[in-house]
Amino acid sequence: MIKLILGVIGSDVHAVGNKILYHVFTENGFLVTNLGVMVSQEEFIEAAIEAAADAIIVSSLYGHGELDCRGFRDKCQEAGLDGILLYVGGNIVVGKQSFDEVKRRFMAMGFDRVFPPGTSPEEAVVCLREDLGW
Amino acid sequence: MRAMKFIDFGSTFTKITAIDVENAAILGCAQAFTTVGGIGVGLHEAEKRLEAITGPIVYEKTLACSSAAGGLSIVAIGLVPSLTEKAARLACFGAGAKVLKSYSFELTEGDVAEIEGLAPDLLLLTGGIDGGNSKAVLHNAKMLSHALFERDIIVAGNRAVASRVAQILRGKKVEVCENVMPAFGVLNLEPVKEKIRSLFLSRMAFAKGLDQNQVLMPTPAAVMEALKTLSSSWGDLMAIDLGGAPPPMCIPLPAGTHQGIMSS
Repeated sequence: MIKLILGVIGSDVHAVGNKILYHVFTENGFLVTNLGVMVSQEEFIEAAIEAAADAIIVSSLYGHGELDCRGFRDKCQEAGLDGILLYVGGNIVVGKQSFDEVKRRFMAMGFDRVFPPGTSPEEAVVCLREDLGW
Repeated sequence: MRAMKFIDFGSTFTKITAIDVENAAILGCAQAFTTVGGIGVGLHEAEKRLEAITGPIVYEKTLACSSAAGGLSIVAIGLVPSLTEKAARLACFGAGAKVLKSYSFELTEGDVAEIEGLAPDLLLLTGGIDGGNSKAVLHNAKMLSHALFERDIIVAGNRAVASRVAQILRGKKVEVCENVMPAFGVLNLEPVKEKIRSLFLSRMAFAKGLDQNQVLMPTPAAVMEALKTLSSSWGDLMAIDLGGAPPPMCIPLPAGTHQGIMSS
């Protein structure tokens, strides 16, 4: 069974999207550990270690995702989570910026997939199946 | 009058209190040095001193707790320091044990040598939520399987590999228990606490020269139980015991949680 760690990063308390993602992933057969809102990088990583997760799904809506996500991949590597899938999505930067540019910056930070605002949860499900060969 | 005798075998003193449970009255207290060779010698002396105060009494029941010979010492092993390692430590504290040291992630040869040197009364091996990480607990079981350690090992980690862990540790005295953290952030400490307590009574208390029929639990666990009972009518309580050894501090949490904090 594919195991996911799900949560809203940083000081962000937007809970509705998090609940929707939890239900969609669970209904699609994933085993989800949902950390809820205001989750630090360390909490994502610690949960992923204990759960032996296949992917970490990071949400952010309040615009400061870029600050919250810096160094995430490095910390994963430090914690022995080599090769774990890292997804991020939502309103992840301040203001209106070109999504291609935003995506490039997050990919450079080590995220495997970057989703713009308005992405349907099913799209993330398709990407997970593709990336994990499941 | 219904007289009962309560004994605390400490490392220094054996203390006895005679209580009339019918009238909720203390009949007398006495103490004598705990005798290392045979604990009964010190007990007998304390009983003589008690009788000098109370006169001859027929006791309905005798109950005891013990922290003698350093109490109950445990080495706890988990995976992530803030998760299963912490859960393992909390289970030990809740059972009234002294955590000599705790370890996280994968044990090294040096760690195993250190554990051999610490020679705890028992080992608690945890790691991974149920269905989660199994690599660490399997690795740690392999490392411990070569250790010069003949005491009990309680396995309370990822349920999915519990029997494999027990298999790796065959030849050792292994007790498999429910996971201390079955899901992320969920504590399940009672089964391990009960297992620690029953092992203490059946093996360790006896090995330390105590009568296993008399001793109910380690002293810190007895203090915690007493505080839980008191807090059910008195409300929130904190007790600090300035003992000769590091003083335990106990805080029973509100009724219904059946949890508490104990630190030394």
